[in-house]
Amino acid sequence: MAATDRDLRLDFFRGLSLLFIFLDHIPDNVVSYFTLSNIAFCDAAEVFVFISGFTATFVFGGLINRYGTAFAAAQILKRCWTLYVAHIFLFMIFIAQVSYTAARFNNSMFLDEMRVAEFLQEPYIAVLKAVVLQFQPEFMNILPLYIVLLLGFAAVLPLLRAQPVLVMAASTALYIAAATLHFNFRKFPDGVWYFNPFAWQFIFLIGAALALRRIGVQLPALHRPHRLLWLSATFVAVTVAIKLAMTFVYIRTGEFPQIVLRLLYTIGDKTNLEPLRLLNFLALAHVTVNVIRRDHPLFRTAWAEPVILCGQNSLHIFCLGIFLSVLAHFLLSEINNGVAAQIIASLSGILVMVGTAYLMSWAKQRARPGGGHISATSPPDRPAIQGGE
Amino acid sequence: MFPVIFGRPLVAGLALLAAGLAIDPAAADPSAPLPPMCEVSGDLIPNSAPLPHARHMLKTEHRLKVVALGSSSTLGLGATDSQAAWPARLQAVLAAELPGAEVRVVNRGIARQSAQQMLERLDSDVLAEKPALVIWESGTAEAVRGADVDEFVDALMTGVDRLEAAGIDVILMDTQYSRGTAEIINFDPYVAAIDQVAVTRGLDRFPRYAVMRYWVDNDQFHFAGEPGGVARKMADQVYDCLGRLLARTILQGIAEEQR
Repeated sequence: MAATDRDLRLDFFRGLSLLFIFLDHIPDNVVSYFTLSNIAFCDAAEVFVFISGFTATFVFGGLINRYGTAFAAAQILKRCWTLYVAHIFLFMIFIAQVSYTAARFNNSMFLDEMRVAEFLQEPYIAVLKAVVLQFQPEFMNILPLYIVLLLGFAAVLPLLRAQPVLVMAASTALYIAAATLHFNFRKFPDGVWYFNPFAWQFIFLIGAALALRRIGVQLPALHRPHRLLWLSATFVAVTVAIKLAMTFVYIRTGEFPQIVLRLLYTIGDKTNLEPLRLLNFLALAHVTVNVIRRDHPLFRTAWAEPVILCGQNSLHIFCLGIFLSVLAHFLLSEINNGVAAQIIASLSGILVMVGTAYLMSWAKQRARPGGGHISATSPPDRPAIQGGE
Repeated sequence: MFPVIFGRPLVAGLALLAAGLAIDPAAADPSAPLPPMCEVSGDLIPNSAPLPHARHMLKTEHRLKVVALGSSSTLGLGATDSQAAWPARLQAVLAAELPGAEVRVVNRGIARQSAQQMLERLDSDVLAEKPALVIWESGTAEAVRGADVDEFVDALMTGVDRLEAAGIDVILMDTQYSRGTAEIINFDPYVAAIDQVAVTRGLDRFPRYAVMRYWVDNDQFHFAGEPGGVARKMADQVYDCLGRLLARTILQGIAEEQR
């Protein structure tokens, strides 16, 4: 386990968001009724990106303090490269899945649909587009966001350290512009990125800016509106009530109430992280950090440990989770998609993720100085870098 | 060995749950019983919205003209011939149910078309026919390309506005379902978008995706690995079932007084 001064809330909630992302990525999964997206207008994606921003400052900012800007930037780029390799790996999984389906599934009723398999005839186009992050079938859309955000962060972090107010003002302006004008990267063969980086950078940088104090950067005193906590708590309570009511109405009538749908489509769009989602997340985060302190006994319980370990190995567990959700979707539709099978698939996936996290933490401990396996080329503070994925 | 033990599929389970909760809509349908393979659970197809223009044409002119606007699954690809496509089947069923009326369903399906492309031929292919009702099937091209959902919704809204302005009733139909295609294509956002347009405009919708999924989950149809001849016969049956279910929706819509 990690050092005692570590804020386990970061690991715990990031671990939880990874498990939620896995569950939410399996279509028609009853277990996904128990994830954040069912009680809030935001979901695990916001949590994951926010905490990623926070830890990015914490870890790479700390590296700047000790080894300078260039070293920190190099470490960020190294992490980008790992993410990029993971993206290409998921692309291979996608190709394997499409090839398998196209070879077996040959029904001319579904002629239009099988155009997905067309790139097998001209694979170079899709391969090229995947290499430049423009080919983003369903489960390949969050890694490109993460890669682009981290890539930008290599340049932004030194600026954020020096001029936090200026950078955050620019970030806010970019967010407002992107959320209003909807400019975004194009993807192949059609449409735009599912996660608009120009909008989502905002939540990443909010996280990053909030971690500045932890690397010794003095922030100007923020003027907090009176009773911010109560405001946030009320907001969260109202959204939870609305969400639960919506789910209940949906089960009864098979439809969501029109007025809520309209509201959602106007201010709750996920692609551009529209205000409803952002505010809901910020309120939720504010309430959470005030209610759950960093030394909360929850984090020492037996069931919190696996979640924390997932969060501490987030990069690998994230990629593994996406791979497992694809696999689970495939097995559920090929073999059995009953409720029991959904539960079994969900639990097995969580077990594999947790098992892998334990294995990785064990391996890391073995590799620590004194464990006798550290390689000579590793930077001196390797454990800190690994801890802050 | 997985099967059997794991119980009923989710859709059927939820349908049962919902059936227990919801009030049963008056089954005022006079039509002939469905062949067993076409059966769906009672609440899968939403209650029909009124179809005033179709009702009016039928009452005053003793005829009903419908245009089926869509892509390859409207055209009837995979079936024996064009007479087996769902628009032709719909025409046959409606003609039988509406004796004394001249029923015509014009097939305007073109393979691989997006809603935007259909919108561009709305004047020549649809409005020029002066129908009382348009069944607009869409979403597949968009789902396959992963197109922007907002642009898709915009195209649908624009089309619906123009059809309604021309005094035409509209029924929206969503994509086809099979396990193989659903594994590699994410249809959900586009099916939901069609739902959203129908709900916000108070339109009738025909949830083909949910219907076909129900058939697959209940072993009424399988769409994988059949030899060509068997697959073609199955396509004929699927289109026939769709035509029958659509006819029910339309007859209910016509019977419904305007709210």
